[in-house]
Amino acid sequence: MSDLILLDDELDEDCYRARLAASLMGVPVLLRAVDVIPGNEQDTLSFRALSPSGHLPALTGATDPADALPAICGAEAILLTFAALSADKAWQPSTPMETGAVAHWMTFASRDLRPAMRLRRKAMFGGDGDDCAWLSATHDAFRIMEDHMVLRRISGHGWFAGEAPTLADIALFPSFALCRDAGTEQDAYPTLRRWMRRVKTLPGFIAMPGIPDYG
Amino acid sequence: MQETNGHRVGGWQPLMLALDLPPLTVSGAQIGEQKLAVWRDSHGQVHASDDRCPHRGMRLSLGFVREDMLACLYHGWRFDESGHCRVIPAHPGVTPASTICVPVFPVAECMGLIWSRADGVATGAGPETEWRLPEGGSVTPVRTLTIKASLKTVMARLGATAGQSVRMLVTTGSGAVLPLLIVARPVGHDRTQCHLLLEGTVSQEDCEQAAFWAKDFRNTAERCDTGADYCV
Repeated sequence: MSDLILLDDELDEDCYRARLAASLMGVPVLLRAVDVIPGNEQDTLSFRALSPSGHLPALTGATDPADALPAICGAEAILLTFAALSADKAWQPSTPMETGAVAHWMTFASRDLRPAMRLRRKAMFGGDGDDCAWLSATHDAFRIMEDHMVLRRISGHGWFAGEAPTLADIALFPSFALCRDAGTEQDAYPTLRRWMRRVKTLPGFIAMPGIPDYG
Repeated sequence: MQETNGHRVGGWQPLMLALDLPPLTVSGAQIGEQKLAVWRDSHGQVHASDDRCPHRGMRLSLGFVREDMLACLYHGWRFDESGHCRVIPAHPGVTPASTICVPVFPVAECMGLIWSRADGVATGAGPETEWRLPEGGSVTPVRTLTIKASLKTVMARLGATAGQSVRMLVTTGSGAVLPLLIVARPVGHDRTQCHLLLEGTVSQEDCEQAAFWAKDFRNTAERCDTGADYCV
């Protein structure tokens, strides 16, 4: 297999998902910075040749030349790819129930946490959008996560699915850890704060601007 | 209306479950208009200070605990339990002047909760008396939940008086009786923070049932009070 190259934007939340996953899973990747702001490089023909919808992150070097797919695009897809590539098999769900739970929370991260990601992007880089609706949806999503982790704590668990950290935790972590970039408070989610600290202590954890690696 | 707006909130206020503040961590809290940084040292002792670093105004609740001092995220200034600045990393040879300090607030840990007060009163009755907490015995903490409804609405649903703990027996679908202890206070704009505990040492299943009851209660209270909104 050729070198894995992650087309990356340092300040993008989804790109951080991919970088964090690679680091936690011990998958070596080369980073290639894409000039999203201010360059709009994601709209250039050369980038669209790799990621047709202009979506970041994108991963090259992991596809079969025979299937004509130049890059794996999107955080969820890249997380699944890394888990399959990792020598550490603990990142692959071990039971059908865990597979289902991990898929549930990965879908939740890409769908229900989208308003939190948009809120942060607008707060940092400007643009249009309904802050009020996004903020309300962000709190709705965090509340669902907090409710879940309260029940997990009561039953003696510290992670979203299964006995150990999974792709679910990696997919969910960035939106909660970065929400203060958009001024969203974490104090109403004490169980998520404790889980956030737990994630930060994992071997291979890496931070990004906006996430202190201590605390 | 916001019960706390423009008024100094008097008396002990229940801020969080004790289990939600592990040693060597800091959390933000608010009493009326007063923002607090609440932190726990390596000996398990809880402290509270104003949530503002005197250096650059950074919120200390975003900082971290090092060597039993609260450190600011910006430049690492460290404040001890009395609020005095003890370390300025950029000037390691300098002993910070005693005038560099943050206001501190009294803290009590009782009934599985962390309490503080921002009314300047240093003496007087403890939270047990003020909130009429059950005497003696142990409690099992369940969770804290924020309800998008006024304290008035929440207390009316509970059939109880604001500013006092609520003891109630709830029968679950499976016939178990849960001895709930609820301590509620207003936070922010038209929201209520409810700390839910169970009296005595109870099973994991009872704890789960209490957590389910709390979600149902929150849903009911929020349907009664649709005025609360995050965008104000």
